[in-house]
Amino acid sequence: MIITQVVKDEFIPSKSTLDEIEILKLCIQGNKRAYDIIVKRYMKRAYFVAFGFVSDKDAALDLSQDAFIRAYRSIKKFDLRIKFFTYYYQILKNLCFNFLRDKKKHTRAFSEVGEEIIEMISDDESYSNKYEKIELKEKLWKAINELDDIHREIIILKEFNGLSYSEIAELLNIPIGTVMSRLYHSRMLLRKILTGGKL
Amino acid sequence: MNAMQNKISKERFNILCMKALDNEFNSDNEILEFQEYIKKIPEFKIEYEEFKRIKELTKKMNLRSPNDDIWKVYRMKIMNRIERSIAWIIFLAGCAIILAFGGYKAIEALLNNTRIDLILKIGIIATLSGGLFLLLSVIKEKITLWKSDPYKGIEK
Repeated sequence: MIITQVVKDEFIPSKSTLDEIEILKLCIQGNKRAYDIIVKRYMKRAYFVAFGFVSDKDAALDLSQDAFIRAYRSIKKFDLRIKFFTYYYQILKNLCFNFLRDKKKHTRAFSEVGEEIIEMISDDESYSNKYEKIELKEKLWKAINELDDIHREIIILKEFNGLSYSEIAELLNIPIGTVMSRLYHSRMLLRKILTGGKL
Repeated sequence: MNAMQNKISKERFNILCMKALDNEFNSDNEILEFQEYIKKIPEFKIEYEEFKRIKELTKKMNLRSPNDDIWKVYRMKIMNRIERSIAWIIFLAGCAIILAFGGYKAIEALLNNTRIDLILKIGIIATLSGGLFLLLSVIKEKITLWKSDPYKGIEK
């Protein structure tokens, strides 16, 4: 009843008074301002996930926007028992994979991606030489991009988005045990690439 | 039996190793179990140390967020495109109504026109009806194909 009133008045209470389910209920009823709150909440995470997949700033911005628009178009079918980002993530992932398939490119060299997009936290004393740091960044970026989609995906979610095991499990719809074993294999592959296959 | 036990303990170690790296231990027992592995099996310790180095390296590497102006435009673009798609639906619905009404009026005028021969009226109506059925048939086919197309999500 309260929700219906809110929709009629096109009034959105402050974010803190609405939890995600309430906001999504408003979105399902066609309230675009409520959807803007959802976009604002997840846009940065969406961008980072997309960037992790496509390694292209502009494409990541476009693809994550497209995914938000597609998610809104089918929001009426949205199941309120799942989290929005889980639903959104599937759309975004498909768009990113389609983009890569279409462009026939999986990796971009570090020099193309540029320091504007990836930064190294600079208070690191162990790598005194600036060039050594850049070389390390390059190596790691290259190694991550050499991973196949499934292993790269989990590294992106864990290392660059800081998601917990349970969050990753929910997002990928896999058990936590699978998250851990997939992470193990991804890290093992990274280790192998970084050490030049000498394992 | 020994090989199988080794395999099990390696698999268990892999899980504990990930939990140690990501600070995801569920209990103190798990921490003790992990420490026990590290102490007893040197290869496991080496593996853990190497994973730790990679983890530290990725921790130091951050994806930089675009500036605030970009985010403002980003949200605006999404909202505009959503609004536009609704506007397109309304526009197309309007076009359909106008075309249907116009078509109805044109046929009505044709039938009421006494200066045109009946045979010509039949010819015109048959041509238009045939064209309309052909168009509807093509649209129907396209929709059916699109619905069952497993690659419809792939942008060409």
